[in-house]
Amino acid sequence: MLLPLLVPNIPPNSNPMKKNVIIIGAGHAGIQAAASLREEGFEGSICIFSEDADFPYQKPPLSKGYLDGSQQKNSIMFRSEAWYENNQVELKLGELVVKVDISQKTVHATSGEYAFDFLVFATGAYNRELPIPIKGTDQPLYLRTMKDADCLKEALDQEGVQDILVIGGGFIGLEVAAYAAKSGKKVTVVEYQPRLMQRVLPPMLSEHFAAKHQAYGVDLRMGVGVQDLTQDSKWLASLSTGESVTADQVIVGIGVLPSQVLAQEAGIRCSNGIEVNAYCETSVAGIYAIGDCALHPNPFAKGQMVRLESVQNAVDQAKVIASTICGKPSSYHQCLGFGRTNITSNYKWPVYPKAMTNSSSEEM
Amino acid sequence: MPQITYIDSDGNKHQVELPLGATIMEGAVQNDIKGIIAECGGSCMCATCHCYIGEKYLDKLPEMEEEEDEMLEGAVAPRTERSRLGCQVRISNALDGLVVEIPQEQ
Ligand SMILES: Cc1cc2nc3c(=O)[nH]c(=O)nc-3n(C[C@H](O)[C@H](O)[C@H](O)COP(=O)(O)OP(=O)(O)OC[C@H]3O[C@@H](n4cnc5c(N)ncnc54)[C@H](O)[C@@H]3O)c2cc1C
Ligand code: FES
Repeated sequence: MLLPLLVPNIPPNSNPMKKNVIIIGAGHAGIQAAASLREEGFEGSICIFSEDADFPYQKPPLSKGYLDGSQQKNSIMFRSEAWYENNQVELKLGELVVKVDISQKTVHATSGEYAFDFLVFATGAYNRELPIPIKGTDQPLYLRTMKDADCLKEALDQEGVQDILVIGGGFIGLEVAAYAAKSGKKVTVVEYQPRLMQRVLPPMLSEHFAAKHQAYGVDLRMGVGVQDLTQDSKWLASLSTGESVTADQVIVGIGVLPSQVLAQEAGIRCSNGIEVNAYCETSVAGIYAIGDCALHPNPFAKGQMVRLESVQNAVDQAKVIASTICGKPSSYHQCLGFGRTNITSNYKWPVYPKAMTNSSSEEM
Repeated sequence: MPQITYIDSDGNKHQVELPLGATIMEGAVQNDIKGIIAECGGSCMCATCHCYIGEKYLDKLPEMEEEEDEMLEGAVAPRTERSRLGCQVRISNALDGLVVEIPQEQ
């Protein structure tokens, strides 16, 4: 008879395993969060909102196998349709979340209002736009989504497209440059910094990549900025050196910015990303941020706040919040270790196909 | 279509038919077979599609590229002579009847 008194006053739906989770974003972070929640035995509802209408896919192949045609749409999907059904993960594709109300615990999406117990921001990042005057009927090309990749492929494969200008010598710019050079185009890469991927690579590796690209005729212009772009019959880029470059297509890869406006407007603390603690919890209890959008204290950077843009970071943080939501927050230590690789090495380098690399070493 | 048997990370057997040219990783992901995670989507950069290939088929596999070799070094489950990355092995007629074992950890 005493038993009921020992039980605290628990509201009817307080078993964390049965609450409902809304995830905003269907990239690596969002999909992994759903998968890990189910693996941890979470029984409540899981609903993922994705602004992108394409069936959830992985982004890394977009500048690699998907671009060169060795991987097709269905081979870069995260999971099969049956998986979402079997695991009762609801997908709301092509649905933009426009507002989050933290006091009501609701999100407002294109199709209506939805209540959550836990909310996960897995909103990723978006491309930084070129901050220079651009005159022309077309726009330069960017690469982030499958649609972008389709457009890029079409633009590069068009007949008569021969001269390519890549603005930005980072991972994505170089991967695209490699693809274009491989397909026989004349490629110029303009990079503002004095060396390639300065932020993440030691000088020796920068030089290694520079040499590799140059061996295939890529014209690398380091320490050079683009001042404006004008499109006539061709694009004309004026450079900070006073020179100019003409091109049939211009591709821009100058970094990304965290998608945080939604969180910011809801009153969640943000700076260069949505700020989270070691458990990926934001300044509001029960609301998490993971992946490219999350600014977290990194154990490998002496606890400094960092924002990483990598698959492994997204996946590991997703695992962290899944166990936190399921009431087992301790597993964070194993997960957030960036164990398998480090920040730079878990990126696949832009490499030329074997055959080309071999012949280059013979030539050189 | 070649028939492939997966032994998932829980030890359960799944027999599936895969189209020529699909990878072992894609076959597992699309048939919802437990244990292949494929974080990188087949870009040979995560080693979470590590699997063990049935002995009899080892000499029928496409040769391993340097990249795959390097990634396998970082695999979580022990690397053996039968280790391959599922995303780097495409199904051919020669692989009909193949048995693929998926490790417990990726
Ligand atoms: C071309 C390319 C190549 C890359 N190569 C590599 C690589 O080789 N290795 C590596 O580690 N990383 C690579 N990356 C980076 C990697 O893809 C990202 O780190 C990873 O995708 C981050 O996952 P995420 O889930 O945090 O964000 P994202 O994948 O960006 O997903 C966020 C999703 O949220 C959705 N969203 C945002 N706001 C809203 C809203 N308000 N309502 C609804 N939906 C919303 C967006 O539509 C988006 O799909 C690459 C990225 C690109 C673009
Ligand atoms: S899927 Fe990542 S290495 Fe195979």
